[in-house]
Amino acid sequence: MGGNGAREDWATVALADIAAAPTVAALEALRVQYLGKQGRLTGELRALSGLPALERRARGAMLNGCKTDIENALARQRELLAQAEQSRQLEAERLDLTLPGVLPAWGTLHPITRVRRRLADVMLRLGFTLRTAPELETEWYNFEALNMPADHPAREMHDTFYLEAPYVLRTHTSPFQIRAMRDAGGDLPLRVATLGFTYRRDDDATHTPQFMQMEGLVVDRGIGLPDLKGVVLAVVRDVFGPTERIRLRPSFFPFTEPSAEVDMSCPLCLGAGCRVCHTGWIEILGSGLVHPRVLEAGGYDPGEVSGFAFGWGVERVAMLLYGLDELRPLYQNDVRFLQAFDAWDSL
Amino acid sequence: MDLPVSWLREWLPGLDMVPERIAAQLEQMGYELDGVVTAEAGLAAVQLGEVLERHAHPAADRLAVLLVADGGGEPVQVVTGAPNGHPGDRVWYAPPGTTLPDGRVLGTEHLRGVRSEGMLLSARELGYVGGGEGLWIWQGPGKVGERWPTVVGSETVLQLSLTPNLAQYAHSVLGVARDLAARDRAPLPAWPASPRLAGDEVLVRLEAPDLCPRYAVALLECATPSGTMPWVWQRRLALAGVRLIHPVVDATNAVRIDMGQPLHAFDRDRVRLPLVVRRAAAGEPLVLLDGRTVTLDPDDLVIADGDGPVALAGVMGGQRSAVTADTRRVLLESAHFSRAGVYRTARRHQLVSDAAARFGRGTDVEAVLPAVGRFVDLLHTFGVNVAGGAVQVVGPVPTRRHVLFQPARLRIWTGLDLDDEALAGELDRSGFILEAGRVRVPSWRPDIEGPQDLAEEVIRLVGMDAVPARLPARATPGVADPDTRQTDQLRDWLVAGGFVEVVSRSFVPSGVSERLGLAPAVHVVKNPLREDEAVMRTSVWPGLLDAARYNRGRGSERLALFEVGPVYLGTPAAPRERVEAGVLATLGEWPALFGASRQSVYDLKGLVEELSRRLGWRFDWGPWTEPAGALHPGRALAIVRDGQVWGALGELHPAVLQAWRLPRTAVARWHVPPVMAGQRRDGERPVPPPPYPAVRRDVSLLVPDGMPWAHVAALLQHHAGADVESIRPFDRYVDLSGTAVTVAIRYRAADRTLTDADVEARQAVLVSALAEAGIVRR
Repeated sequence: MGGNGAREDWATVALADIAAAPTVAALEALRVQYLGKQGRLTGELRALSGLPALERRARGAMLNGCKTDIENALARQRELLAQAEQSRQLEAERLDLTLPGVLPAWGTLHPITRVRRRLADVMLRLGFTLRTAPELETEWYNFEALNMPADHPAREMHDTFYLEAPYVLRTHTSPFQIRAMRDAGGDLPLRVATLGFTYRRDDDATHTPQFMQMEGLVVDRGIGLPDLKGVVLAVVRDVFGPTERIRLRPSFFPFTEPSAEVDMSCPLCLGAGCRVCHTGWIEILGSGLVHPRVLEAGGYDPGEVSGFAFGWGVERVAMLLYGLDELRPLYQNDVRFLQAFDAWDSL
Repeated sequence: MDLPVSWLREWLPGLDMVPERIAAQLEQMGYELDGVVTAEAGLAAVQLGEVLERHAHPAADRLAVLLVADGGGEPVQVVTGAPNGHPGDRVWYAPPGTTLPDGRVLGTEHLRGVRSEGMLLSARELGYVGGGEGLWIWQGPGKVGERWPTVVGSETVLQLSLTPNLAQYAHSVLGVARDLAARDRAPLPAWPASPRLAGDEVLVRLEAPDLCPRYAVALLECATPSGTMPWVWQRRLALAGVRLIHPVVDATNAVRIDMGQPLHAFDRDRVRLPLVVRRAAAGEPLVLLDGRTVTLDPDDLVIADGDGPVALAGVMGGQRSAVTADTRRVLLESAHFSRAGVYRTARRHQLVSDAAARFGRGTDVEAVLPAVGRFVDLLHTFGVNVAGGAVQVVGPVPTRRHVLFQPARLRIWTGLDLDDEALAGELDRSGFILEAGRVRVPSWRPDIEGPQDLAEEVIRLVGMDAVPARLPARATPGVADPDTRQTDQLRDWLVAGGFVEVVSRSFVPSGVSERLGLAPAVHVVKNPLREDEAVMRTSVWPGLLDAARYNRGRGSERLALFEVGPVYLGTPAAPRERVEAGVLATLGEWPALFGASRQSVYDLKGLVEELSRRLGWRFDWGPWTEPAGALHPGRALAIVRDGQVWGALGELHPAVLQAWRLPRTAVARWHVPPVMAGQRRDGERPVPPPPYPAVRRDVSLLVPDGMPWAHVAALLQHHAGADVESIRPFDRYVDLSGTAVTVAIRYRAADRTLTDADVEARQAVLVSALAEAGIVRR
């Protein structure tokens, strides 16, 4: 208690009323009742002027003490009421957060795009420059330049979609080899890759008439099968994991010599042998040293340089990477299927 | 190629490998292995029995009941319809559970009330010819109770697929045997002895040595067949896919499979000698073995006699000179025909034959005479003795080709650490002989063209596993493709905008582009797999529409799809591929737990604007003037860039919605502008925003009927001072007094804080300027 002398009854009542004020409005009424222009305390203070000096000083001090007490009490009660009000409000705002969240409207990338990017990424890191090449290709680029003259039986391996002559839908990405070599104008070393659609008249569980291929090409002095083996192993391990193994088998492609089929240890059973691979090995890609005639068609001297190339089916990578049994769903565009890949993508 | 392993052992008697090991070796040499199967697996339980008793069937005249000892305990009782099978005869007994070659599975049956366990077999039921009618009364080796595979020997078949290069030299038992011997470091199989040339009569004249470098003919006097073909050979030929016809024809087939040398047999008594190997005369007819008549071309090679052509060389014989059951004097042809010539002729007349397929891949010119010797041997084996005859050959044996031996390059290419001598030694195993810096190529290897083929041969012999792995020595920086980089960023933003990427086929049905008002299809697939994949797309819209229909049909209500991919334009003679982006969104309101969510064509418009801003494309909007097509004529816009139409946006026309069974749907498409390497995007340069606060004023305007917002916006833009930062309409209300649009105008000066008075003055100017255009404040 401030001031001198005993508190008068009205002041005691005032402090009790303030402490009991139930609402902000009631509190305001009390403030007016005591501190307003017509208020009790205001009146008491005003009445001081009629008192003798000595008494006025003592009473003045006492009244100022009352004023401070009342103001403090008002402030304290106001704060208490505000807190109570906020608590009430927060209680009233309670939400049922067991209701489901609202999902963000996010889209998703097609698995073919995912795998394409994955492969482009590893090729870039291995120093391959990426480029594109036409899908509507001339027979010369698609066949002749790749050592498949018109009567060559190997041309029958490629069941071709024909357009107005001389154009075909490219049956493989290999024409890009000729285009890349010609654009390089004889520069060494040449290390390029491409990813794009190719077309063959084939349609079953493991073939679609349109499919995406990745192809890599290296030309330099002193290139041999060890370079091919090293690069393919690096790509396979980057995509499927560092414990993958590969195995090369002699094969045949008109535009490579020697040619090799590459098997990798089955990523599904880790090479133990399973329903998909049977033997622990899965045939994944075709490769070989660039045929001298192809180097010549690209403007390089096969007596001076050599090279290797390999081509890989992107859908095949997708099937192995995502554990798919069939190719067809990849091109059905069922959004329920497409949206499942984010949670099942490789890192 | 189905290859019985026992046949392989004819050429490699010392071959000491189980079939699985043989298969693994061949795989390492480039053969594709489709399977290793045991032949006659169903007959494993068939055993040799001896008939003990034969009784008449009590209820059937034609049936008999036999008691047969099968080497076990009790004799078995079998009912048979065969007239033979008497006590003491040895017969083949198939117990219940046996699967016969024709697919029948045997059991225990009751035939007219008599129990019969399994079956006694005829030769035919075992898959063989000969052995007489009825049960096969076995005269061969074996004891009662012994099983069929034990008595006749088991057979394993290697099912091989040959790549085109292997098909050139390994499409025969001998070819595979040579590869296997080389791999196994065993001596190569020896040629069969060539017959001695004899006879004075001129049997053949060669007039087209370019199409037939060498031609041998043998006149053989054949005795009447003295027996049937041994069952081992019957089984080998059956497994190799040969149907037995006549010992002479069977032997020609056997030699083709055995040595890769097709032979042809004429009936000597049906041709007028000498034979002439010549080009056909234009229009000359020939009736072939299969009855078809072909009209010949001067580029076709024929074998003719005094009366005209008797065979289409290397492809098919003629009917007139064909061997029949009565043939006793055989004129056997063994020739080396030009591979390209046979291929062209077979294709010209659309004829398919084993011989044409074989010649079309290339044969061994040095095999011409040995094949005659092999034929005579096999014919003898098949039960026909050759009493005598004449053999003649025309055309020289060409000298063997040579290929440069470059050991240093072989080491580079293979990565193998082999010295010159070791490399030559490897090649020698396959019959390549080193001679003064060159290797002589064996006559049976038409596939070998240059030094690189020698590298492959070494690798086939040593094995790919011996090749080390390394990364190329000289490093290069990889450079990304700028166009792909841009389209991938576009994809990422579309995904962030809520769109799901689809990838559709580049083929579309013919007519769909025109129906959707797209660029007409330019590139027609001449041999499509299906009618609805007949042309190359000119837009991604058809694929997006199909994807939308597919998903709507599977219950997806709200769709937001995009595709970024190639479209095929230009002209048939000069194709041009461009990348197009397309988006599709179904429109409407979807009730949700917390208020509805909504999609309108304006959402798609905003998406395109934002993508254009981010990617620096500077797209503009223009009126859509195409009257027909995919879009609702009142709800469509052209996407314009540099004054040219780059795409379109709008709601789909109700007819299109109906055809694709879609609800209200908006779409857009645009060509993705190409980018150059190193090019910066053509967007706006980022500048730090001014530090002074913005002031917003909302004004509600009454817009005359029919005045588009773009007009109002242009007026506002025109009369707004330098300090107007943005003008956005945010409310639109139509009532009897007209259309009211509420616009939020934000003012901000770059150099100071605007006062209320500043803003009021600018606002007053704007409002009075609008009033002159008939737009009043509401």
